[in-house]
Amino acid sequence: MTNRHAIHTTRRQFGLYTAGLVLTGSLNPALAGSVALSGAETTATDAAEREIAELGNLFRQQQPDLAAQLEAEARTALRLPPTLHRAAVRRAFPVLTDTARVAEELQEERVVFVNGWLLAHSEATAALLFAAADTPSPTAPTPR
Amino acid sequence: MIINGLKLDGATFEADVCVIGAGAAGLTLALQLAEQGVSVVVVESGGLEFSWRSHKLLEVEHAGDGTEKVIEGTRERFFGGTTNHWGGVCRPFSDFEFQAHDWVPGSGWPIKRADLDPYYDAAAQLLDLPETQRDYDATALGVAQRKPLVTASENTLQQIIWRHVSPERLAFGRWRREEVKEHPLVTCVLNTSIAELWAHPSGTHIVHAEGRTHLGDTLRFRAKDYALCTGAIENARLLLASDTVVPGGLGNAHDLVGRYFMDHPGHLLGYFMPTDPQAPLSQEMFLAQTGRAGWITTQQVRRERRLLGFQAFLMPNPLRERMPQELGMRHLIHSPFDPLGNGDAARRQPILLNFEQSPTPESRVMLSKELDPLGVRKPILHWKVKDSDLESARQSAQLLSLGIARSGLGRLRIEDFTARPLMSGGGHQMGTTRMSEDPSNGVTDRDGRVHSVENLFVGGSSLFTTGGWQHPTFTIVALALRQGDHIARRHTKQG
Repeated sequence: MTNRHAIHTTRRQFGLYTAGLVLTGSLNPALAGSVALSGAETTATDAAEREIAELGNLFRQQQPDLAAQLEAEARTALRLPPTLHRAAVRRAFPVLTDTARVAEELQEERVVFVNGWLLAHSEATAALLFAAADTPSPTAPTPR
Repeated sequence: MIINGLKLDGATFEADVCVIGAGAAGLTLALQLAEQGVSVVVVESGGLEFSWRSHKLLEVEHAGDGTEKVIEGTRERFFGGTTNHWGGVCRPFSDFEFQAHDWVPGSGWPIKRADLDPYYDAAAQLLDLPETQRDYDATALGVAQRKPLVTASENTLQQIIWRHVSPERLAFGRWRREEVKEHPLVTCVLNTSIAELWAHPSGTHIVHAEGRTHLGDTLRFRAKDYALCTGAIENARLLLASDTVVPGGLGNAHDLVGRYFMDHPGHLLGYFMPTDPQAPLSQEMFLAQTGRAGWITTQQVRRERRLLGFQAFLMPNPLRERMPQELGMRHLIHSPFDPLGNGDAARRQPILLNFEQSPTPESRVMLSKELDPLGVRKPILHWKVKDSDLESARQSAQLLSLGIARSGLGRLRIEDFTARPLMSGGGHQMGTTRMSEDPSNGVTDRDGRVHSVENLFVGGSSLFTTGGWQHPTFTIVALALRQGDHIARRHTKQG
C-alpha cells in the first residue's frame, strides 16, 4: 500500500549528464553525447566521450570475452588501426549507432546491460572503441 | 451498533459469528454475514479514529536484517484497519496466479480464479468499480492514445491499468460505518483487543475469545464461528499466542503458522530517459480518477523464463505536482523521488517496481518473549527474500528496458535495486496462514478455515498461497465475500 523507496544514488548519473546534450541521431541517451553528427559538424564534447569510454571500460570489466569479441569484429569491419584516436572513433560512431542497425539488434535481443543502461551490441562496441581511444595502445612505445 | 469496550469488565457478548478486526476483510465479512441473517460481533482493537495507544500494539520486533522497512507505517489499528491509508488500487488476480508453477516451490492455491469470479464482480460493485472494466485493458479503456512506451507487439510485456476506487470508497471505516452502526445483526465492540482464542480441551474448536482493554477490562466473546481478520502479522501472532490449551498455538500442528510471510518488495527501478525530453509521457501514463498504467511480464515469458510476477509503473513527474492527494497517496508525496534535487527530474521519468517473492518457509512471523501493553507476546518478523527472487526481478526489469528501447521513444536506466539490505516492501503483508488442500502444506483450507479447528476461520491476505504481482486488497474483499457466503451457509444449515 505504501512505497517508501530508499534511493541510493551516489554519483551523478551518466545518463542525466548526456541527456542534456544535443541528441539528433541515437535512440540511446546513454550515448547521446557523441551522437551528433549533422553533416561534418560534431557537437560531441570531451567530457561526454570520456563518460562513454567509462561505459566501455565497465563493459570490458564485466564481460571481457564478449567485449573482446565485439571490439575485434568492429576493428576488422571498420578497418581500424591498432592505435585508435578519438577522431577515428567519431567517424565510426554513426555507423555503429545507425538507427536501423540498433533496432535490428534490439529486436534480436543482442544487447548488454552496463551500469544500468541497455546497449545494443553495436552501441556497446562504440563505447569500447572510445575506451580504447583513451587507453594507450599496448604496442605503442613506452616513454622513457 | 457500535459500542466502546472500555469499562465493560466482565461483559460477555454472544453472536453467531465473532469477527476479530474491522479492516477490509473483517468489515466485508461481517456485513456479508449480516445480510444473510447471521448475527455478528466485531471486535476492534482501536477506536473510530487513530490513536497512538492502539497503534503501539502493532509493534513488531525485527530480526535485525532490515525488515523494519517492510512494515514501517504500513498498518493501522483502528476502525477500518489499514484501509485508512489505502491507495485504492484494484486489480484481480488472474487464473495464472492461482496455478501451481514448477519453478515456484509452494505455489498453487486450492481455489481457482473461477471460484472467485462472482466475488470479484461483487467486490467491484461494492467498491463502485465498473464491472465491465474489471479486466483493465488499456486499449479498451481508450487510455493508450499516444504511442505506448512498450508496443503491443512485445510478447514479453503487457501494458495494464490499475483501477483506483473513488475517494469515497477508500477508508472502509468511514463508508461502512453507518451500515455497521445501523444493522440490527451487527455489534461492533471498539477498543478491545483479543488476547487469546480459547480452545476446547480437545483443541478441535474455539469456545470463546478473550478481549482486553487498556484499562484492564476483560471481555468475553462467544460464538459458533470465529473469524480472525487482523492482517498477516497479527493473524499469525494471535494463533501462535493462543497456546494455553494447544501447545505451539492453534492450527500449528505442522509448524506452519507464521511461515511463508510475503510482501511485494519494491524500489525505484530506474529512470526513463526520453529521446524527446518534451514528450508528455506522464500525462498518458498517470490518469487521475481513472487508473494508473504500468507494465507486467506476460504469462508466456514468465513460463518460458521461469519468472515470478513483476509490475512496473511510470511515476508522474514532477511528483509533487502530479500526485493527487485524493487518491489516498499522501504518504508518497514526501518521498525522496528527486534525489539529486537539481531539476533533472523535469527530464527523466522515475519508474517504480514491485515484484513477487516466492513463498519461503524461512520467511516468518514468530513470537517474542517481550509483551505488549496488554500482556500479549509481541511478534518477531523474519522477512526473507531469496536471491532467486531478486534475480527474477532483475531479469524482468531488463525485459522492460528492452521493450522500451524497441519502442524508439528512449531508454530506461536501471538502478541497482537488488543490493541488500533490501528495499522496502509494498505494504502488502501476505502469507502466514496460507490456504492449502493438504494440512501439511498450509494452515487453512480452501474456505479459509483453520485445518485443525472446526469453527475458526482466517480472513485477509494471510490466506494468500502466493502473492502474485497484484495489489492485494481487491482480492481480500473478494475472498471475504466468498467466505461470508460459506460461513452463512453453515449457519443456515444449522438452523
